[in-house]
Amino acid sequence: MTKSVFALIVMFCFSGASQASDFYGELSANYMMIDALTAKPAPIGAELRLGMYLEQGVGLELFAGSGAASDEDLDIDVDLSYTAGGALRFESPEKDGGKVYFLLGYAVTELDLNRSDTGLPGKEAYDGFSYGGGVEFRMAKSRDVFLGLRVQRYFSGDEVDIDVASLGLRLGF
Amino acid sequence: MNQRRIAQTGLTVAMLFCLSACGGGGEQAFVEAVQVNELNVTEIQIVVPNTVTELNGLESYKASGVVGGDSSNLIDVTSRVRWSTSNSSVASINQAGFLTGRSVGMVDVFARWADLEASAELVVSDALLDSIAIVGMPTSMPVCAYGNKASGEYTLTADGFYVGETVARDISDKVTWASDDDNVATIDLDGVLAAYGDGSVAISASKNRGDGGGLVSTSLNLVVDDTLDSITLTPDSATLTVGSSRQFVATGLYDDASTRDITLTSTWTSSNAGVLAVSDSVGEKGLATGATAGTANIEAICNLSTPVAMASAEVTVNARVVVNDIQINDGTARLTFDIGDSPVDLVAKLLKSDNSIGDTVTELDDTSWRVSDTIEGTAASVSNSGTTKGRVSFSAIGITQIEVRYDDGTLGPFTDTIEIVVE
Repeated sequence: MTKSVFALIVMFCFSGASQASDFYGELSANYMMIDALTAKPAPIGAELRLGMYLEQGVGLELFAGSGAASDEDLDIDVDLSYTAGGALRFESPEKDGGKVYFLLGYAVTELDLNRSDTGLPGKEAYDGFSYGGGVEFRMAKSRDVFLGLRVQRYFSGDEVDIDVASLGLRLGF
Repeated sequence: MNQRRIAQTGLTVAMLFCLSACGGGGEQAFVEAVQVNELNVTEIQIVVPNTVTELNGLESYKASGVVGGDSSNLIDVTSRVRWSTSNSSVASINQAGFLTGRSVGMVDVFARWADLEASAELVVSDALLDSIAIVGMPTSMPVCAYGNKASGEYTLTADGFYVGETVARDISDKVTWASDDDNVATIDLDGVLAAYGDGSVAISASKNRGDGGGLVSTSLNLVVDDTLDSITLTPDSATLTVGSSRQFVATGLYDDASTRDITLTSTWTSSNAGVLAVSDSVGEKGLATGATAGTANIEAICNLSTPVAMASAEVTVNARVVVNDIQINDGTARLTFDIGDSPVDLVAKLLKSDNSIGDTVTELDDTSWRVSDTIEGTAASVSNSGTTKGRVSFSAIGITQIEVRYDDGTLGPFTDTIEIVVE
């Protein structure tokens, strides 16, 4: 968690100095796909992203989210405590109202694990390199409103992977 | 993009990578929770070798998992649990469960797996070994019998009595076991006995006292009875191909009508090692492997019994069947057609070393067709592409030799020819 806070501060500092002209926010529903040996729980979460364009097609964004619904597999209940991070966003030029983009960054995800109703092992955080991408489509011609689908890896471990598939609405301002 | 923004972006990317490189997380807790539930383990228990151990001595700890709450259904989880002690200066333990006494004192030994935990108390003592008692010595053993550590049959243990202590310690894995006559009986590092010949033998257990003051030793006599009547082999005959193997088992029939597996104490030989190789090595006793085609006997002997008990079984070794040739239209040398019969399809099949027919390969990528000779008149043509491979076309009288070639990199190359006569 300390590292994620540090990352956010660093990126805000750069953002403040960039004098970018275009900001955006995104609200998304996240379907988490967790892979831990044979257990594959899939809790649901919600996430808010705020970003700014450093240059045409290159954005810098911060995100934070929390859990909405837990899921149980192999008698282990898994809930999302929170997720946070930052990423560089590389967009393609818009064509017929659509864009593709890629994300490269850092994410921290804290899961609340409850094995067989013991309440243990409890909250465990997973942080590291994060990457992904998505597509989005302009919803209103006169405004920067996009509906998008995103797939992103939040954590890659030796035996645990955390991926997210999300449906989000992004608004430019 | 101006230089300043390029620098900002580059620094941001570098910072993200630096942070990512520091990444990690609570994988172990998650993984252990999954493992525990996969195996349905509800409790773990420590298998305590001794409650008191020697200073600088080694103890082997094991952990068992209770499956589904059934205390009679246990699995070994020694390598899965996290081992620790309450005071590593008194005793330390590695992740394989081997504990070393470091200084005199008392510690708790812990085994933890996910949220499950077991503990056991241990005293590290500098008491000296006073005497040893051998436990489990049989009154007698039949010739060619041997023990089994898992079941405890014909397996000895050693109790150590230490100065000032009233309870014996199990020092079976710390003593040196020995036999004074290996022709009668042997004992291995685990205390497992094996009997070979009629007679009496002294089996001893010895260990250092603990202060460098010499050995403490004890011995007991073991009597081996020559009560073996006969041996049978299973299977009683076998057929192998060259290079394949078969494990044989020798069973001894004793004069009290009991039977016993004596595979490991028998001497195994082959009547013809050029045909059948038979292993008499530890860990491979009774393993027969075909060497070349032929017939040979595998023999098992309890060679110190009187009279020598022996059994044999006949083994037939067949040559390995391999693909070794190809033929066109079942090996026909010449086919005759009228001009109006064109086109005609040829068929190529692989042949095996036992003269049986293998796969049809007419249209395979590894098969190629060509005209190899125009013997007379006008040549016919043969297709070497796609699904028409092997199709011969002709429009004039003549005799043409067609060749097929097969080579898949492992098998081949094999070739065959056929003459096509057009009248």
